[in-house]
Amino acid sequence: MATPIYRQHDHYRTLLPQQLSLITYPYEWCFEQLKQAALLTLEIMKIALDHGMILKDATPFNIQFVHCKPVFIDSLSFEKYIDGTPWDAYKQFCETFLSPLSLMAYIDTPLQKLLQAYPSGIAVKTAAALLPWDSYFNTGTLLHIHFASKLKGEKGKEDSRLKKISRQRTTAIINNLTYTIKSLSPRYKTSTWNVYYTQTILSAAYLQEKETAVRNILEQIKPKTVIDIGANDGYFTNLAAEYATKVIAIDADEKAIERLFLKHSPVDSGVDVLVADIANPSPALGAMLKERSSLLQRIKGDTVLALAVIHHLVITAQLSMDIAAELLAQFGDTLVIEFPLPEDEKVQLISKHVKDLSLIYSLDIFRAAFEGYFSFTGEVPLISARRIIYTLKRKHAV
Amino acid sequence: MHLLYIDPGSSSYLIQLVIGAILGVSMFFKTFRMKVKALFSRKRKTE
Repeated sequence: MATPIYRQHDHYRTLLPQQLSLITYPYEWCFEQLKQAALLTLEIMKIALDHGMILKDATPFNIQFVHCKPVFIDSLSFEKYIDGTPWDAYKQFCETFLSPLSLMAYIDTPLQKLLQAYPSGIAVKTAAALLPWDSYFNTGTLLHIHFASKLKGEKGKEDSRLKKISRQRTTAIINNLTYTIKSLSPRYKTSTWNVYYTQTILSAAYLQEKETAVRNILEQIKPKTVIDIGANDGYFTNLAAEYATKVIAIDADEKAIERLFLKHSPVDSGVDVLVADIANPSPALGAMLKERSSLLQRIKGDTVLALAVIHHLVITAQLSMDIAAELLAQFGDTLVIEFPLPEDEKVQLISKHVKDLSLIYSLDIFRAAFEGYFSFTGEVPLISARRIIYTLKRKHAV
Repeated sequence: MHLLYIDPGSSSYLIQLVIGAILGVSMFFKTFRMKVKALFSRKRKTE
C-alpha cells in the first residue's frame, strides 16, 4: 500500500478535521445563516487577535453549518499577527459578507444567489450603487460601503503600507463590523409559502390524516437520513427528526427555511437546512467544475420525502413527469411521495394556465413515469383530500 | 512585510487607516461621555 502523504515528509503534526456528511454553500443559505457565519468569523478574529494571530481569509466559504450551527473550517487561515499591520482580509470580508448581507437587508428581494455568480464577493462600489438611501443611516454601511467606495485610490501604495494601524483600531473596526452585521435584518419578509401551513392548508383533518400516514411509514422504514424536499415551514421535517438521526430540509423559499433554521439553531435535533429550487439546483462550479459539486451530488440520504411537491414540479416548474421522477431518484433509495390528484383543489388552483391538464398530469402519467425509476411498495389514500401517499423503492442506485 | 498575500487586500489599507481613525475618534468621544456621566452620577450620590 502506498505511504499516505502525511507520512512521506518530515512534519510537525497532521491535523484531521472533523469530517462533515453534508456540505452546503453560501448561495444555499438563508439570510440568518450568512449573518451567523459573518458573526462567527468576526468572533474568531477577535479570539485570534487575543492569541497574537489573525485570519488571512474572511469568506463564507470558510464556514459550514452542522445541524444549524455555524462551524469555521479553514484551519490554514490562521497567521501570526504582526503588530501595526492592517487586516488583510478586511476587503474580502466586506465583499463576501457585508455587501451581500446589506443588499439583502435593504432591498426587498432574496439575493443569496449572488455568491453563486460572484464567489469572490460584491465590490463595495457595486453594493453602494445598488443600496437605497436609507442605508446611509446605518453607520456601518455608511462607513464600510458608501464611504469606502468613495475613497479615492492611494497616490502611491507604498505610502499607506508604511503607516501603522494599531491593534486597538483593528479591534475597533472588527467591533464596528460586528455591531453593523448584528443590526441587519432582511427586508424581504413574507412570501407565498411561509404562511402556507397556517393559512392555505386544505383542512385540519387532512393534516392529521397525512401526519398519521407519514408516521406509520417512517416507523416501518426506520430511516437514518431523511431528505425533506419542499419542507416549507418544516412541519414534516420536525416529524421526521423524531424517527431519523439526520434530516436535511430543502425548500426554494428563503423565508420558510429561515423560520426552520431559527427553530433548530438553538437545539441539536440533527436537522440541516438549505435554500434550493430543486427544479433548478446549484450547479457544479469553480475549478474544472469540480471545486464545488452540484446540489444533486451533495444531497444523499436513505429516505426522501416529497410531500405535496410533485404538482409544483410538473405544473408550476413545468418539468415533465419523467424528469420529475428522474430528479426525485437522485437522493435516496426510499421515496415517500404525496400525489395530489388532478381534481385536488390546489392542483386546480395552480393549473389555471394549462389548457389540458390531462396531457401532463394524471395518476396514469405519474405511475408510468415513476415506474421507470422506482417500484411501488405502498399506497395510502387520504380520505379527507384528493391525495395519495405512495412509498417507492428506487430500482438502481445513482 | 508579508508581501505574497498582500495584493488581494492592498486597496483596503487606506480604507482601514481612515475608518480606524474615525472609529478611534468616535470611541474617544464615547469614553469621554461615559466619564462625564459617571462624574455626575457620583455627585448625585453624595448629595
